[in-house]
Amino acid sequence: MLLTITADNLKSLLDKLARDSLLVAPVLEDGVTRLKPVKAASEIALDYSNTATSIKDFLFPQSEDLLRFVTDGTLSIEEIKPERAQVAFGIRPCDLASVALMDKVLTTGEYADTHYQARRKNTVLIGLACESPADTCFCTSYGYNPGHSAGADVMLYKDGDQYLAEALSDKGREVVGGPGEGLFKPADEAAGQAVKKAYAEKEVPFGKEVDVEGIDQLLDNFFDDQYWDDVSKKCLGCGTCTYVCPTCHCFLLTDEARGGEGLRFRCWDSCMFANYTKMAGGHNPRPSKKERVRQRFMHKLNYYPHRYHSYLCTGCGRCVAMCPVGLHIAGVIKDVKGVKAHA
Amino acid sequence: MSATFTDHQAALRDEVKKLLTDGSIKGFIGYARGRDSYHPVPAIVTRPDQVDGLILDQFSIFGLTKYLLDYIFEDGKMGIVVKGCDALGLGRLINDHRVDRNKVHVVGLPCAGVLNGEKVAKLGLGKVQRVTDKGSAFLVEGDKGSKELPKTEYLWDKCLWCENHNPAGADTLLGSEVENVAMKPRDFSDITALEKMPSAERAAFWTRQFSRCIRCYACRNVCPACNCRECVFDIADPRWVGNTVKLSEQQMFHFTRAFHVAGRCVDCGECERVCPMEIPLMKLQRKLQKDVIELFGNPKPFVPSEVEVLGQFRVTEDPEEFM
Repeated sequence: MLLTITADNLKSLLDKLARDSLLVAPVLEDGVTRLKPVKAASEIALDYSNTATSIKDFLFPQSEDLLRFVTDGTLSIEEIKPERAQVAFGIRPCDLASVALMDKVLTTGEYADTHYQARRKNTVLIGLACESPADTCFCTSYGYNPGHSAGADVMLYKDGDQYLAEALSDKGREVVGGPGEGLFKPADEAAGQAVKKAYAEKEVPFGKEVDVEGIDQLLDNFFDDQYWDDVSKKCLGCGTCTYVCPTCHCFLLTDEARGGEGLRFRCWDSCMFANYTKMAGGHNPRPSKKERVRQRFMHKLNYYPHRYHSYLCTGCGRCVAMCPVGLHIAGVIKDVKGVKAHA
Repeated sequence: MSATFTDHQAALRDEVKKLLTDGSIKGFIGYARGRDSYHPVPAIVTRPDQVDGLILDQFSIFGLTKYLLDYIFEDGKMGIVVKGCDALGLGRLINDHRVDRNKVHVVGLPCAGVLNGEKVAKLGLGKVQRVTDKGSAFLVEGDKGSKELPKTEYLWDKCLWCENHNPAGADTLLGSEVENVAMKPRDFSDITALEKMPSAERAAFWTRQFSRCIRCYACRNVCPACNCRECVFDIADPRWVGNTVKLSEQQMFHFTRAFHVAGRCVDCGECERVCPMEIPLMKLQRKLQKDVIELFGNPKPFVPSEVEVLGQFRVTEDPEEFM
């Protein structure tokens, strides 16, 4: 059922959510809008195309304590479980889509990542459709769109001075019927559908320029192409692309022990770093930028699609905007198509 | 009315083609078009057929010298295009004995200031057709509009107080040298304001900045003064500095880096420019520059010299009694 909520009522709802649980929302600070825990709706910035960092920070944090251990003759292990409930507000369609891609890796198959799973279970995602996609956005290239709502528990669409709302899961219905009780009104179904359609059909100019069709197959026989040598030379070897990416999910485990007590934690790692695949003994199977850059794009556009039947990219455009040297996935897709067309 | 960078593009391509073809260099580090007219990106070409992808335009800000470290263990020369500020970065790498000057072919680009692409992109001028130097302004003509942009407003800050418009010691110079006068004196007023802040307020300011750090190391990787063979932050065993993302570790990283490049920073501002979280890193560096100027009487600590302020020890002049 489609609902509406006024801007004032949305503020009341967010204030309630901030009081009752951890509320994560876009905040503008020193010119950068990013997701941050907030204590009140008044801290939230609503004028943004997308946040500099993604929802990944709160489902798969950059560093996360996993377990404590004590070794005083015997070994005892205490698992640290993320149990705190959180609500994330203002999540854009590309980031909602990224959660589904992360789910495939971290919750399906033989092993599930229990920490990620726990955070997913304890998180309510409130999506916000895009009014003005940035000139680096290309979600439509992957079949998503500015109104794409899959993955949201509650989806909001700004409609004049109010919001069209839809609860899409049990968790979402609990928000609307619980803290949101009395704040939402039923929407006119036809008018609401028209609003959704307008968002779904909203133009994403850069999306028209990036054609991903068939790129997974084009890369099947591309591993040894000269292209990787040429394009990787300008890579700075920093972790910007991987850390702002909503779908990159590599991490490293560290044990830190002092005396008989220790902590195991994990931190994001980046395949762009020189020591990422460095083995004990010093051997590194990806010794130069060529192998590292190739790995990142092959993973997103070839390996992952072969395994999970979708691309590991949602066109959020963060790497397009933030890579210091302009070595981003949209460019690589265009380049590979160009190389193949001239081959 | 100087020539603009674009005026030298054809000459640069000719030069690079010649150098690659006659085997004087094995590769060239220059610029290529980025995602729009305002964000040119680094490009490294190794074959004559790639040379027409090289561009030069008034937005070519990226300091390319750090790439030279990728080639120090290989035979042969690399070519590189440097502006005045970039020449200081090259000087840093040479003085630190990390790059052998004999293995670099330096193409110098005299510079009357680089337009800040981030600022100009917001004006909606569309695809840039032409940029003309009008003395105190650049006329930028795009397919959606034209505008005369005063240099004092639209150049990068560092260009305003730049005193190194002409790259020293180039092997080839594009065009002729330009007038080498700073548009305004070096300005430390923002640093003085930070110094005067009550310490709790100043701590809050830096806490807010460093809490945004995502530890991507873009600042370190672009910095010509950050040229250690192995960076302490990359050593996993022993792990001198933690890799968790929390304020204390972030601060440790940035303070260590700032102190390590103190007196060696060439004021190129690239760390701050590439930071994806817009942390004002140059405020740290400029505070240290100011200290070096005031405490050691070196008026230009950002110009690499034979004798570095913090790279020497004169026992008879040391005021420290204990020593």
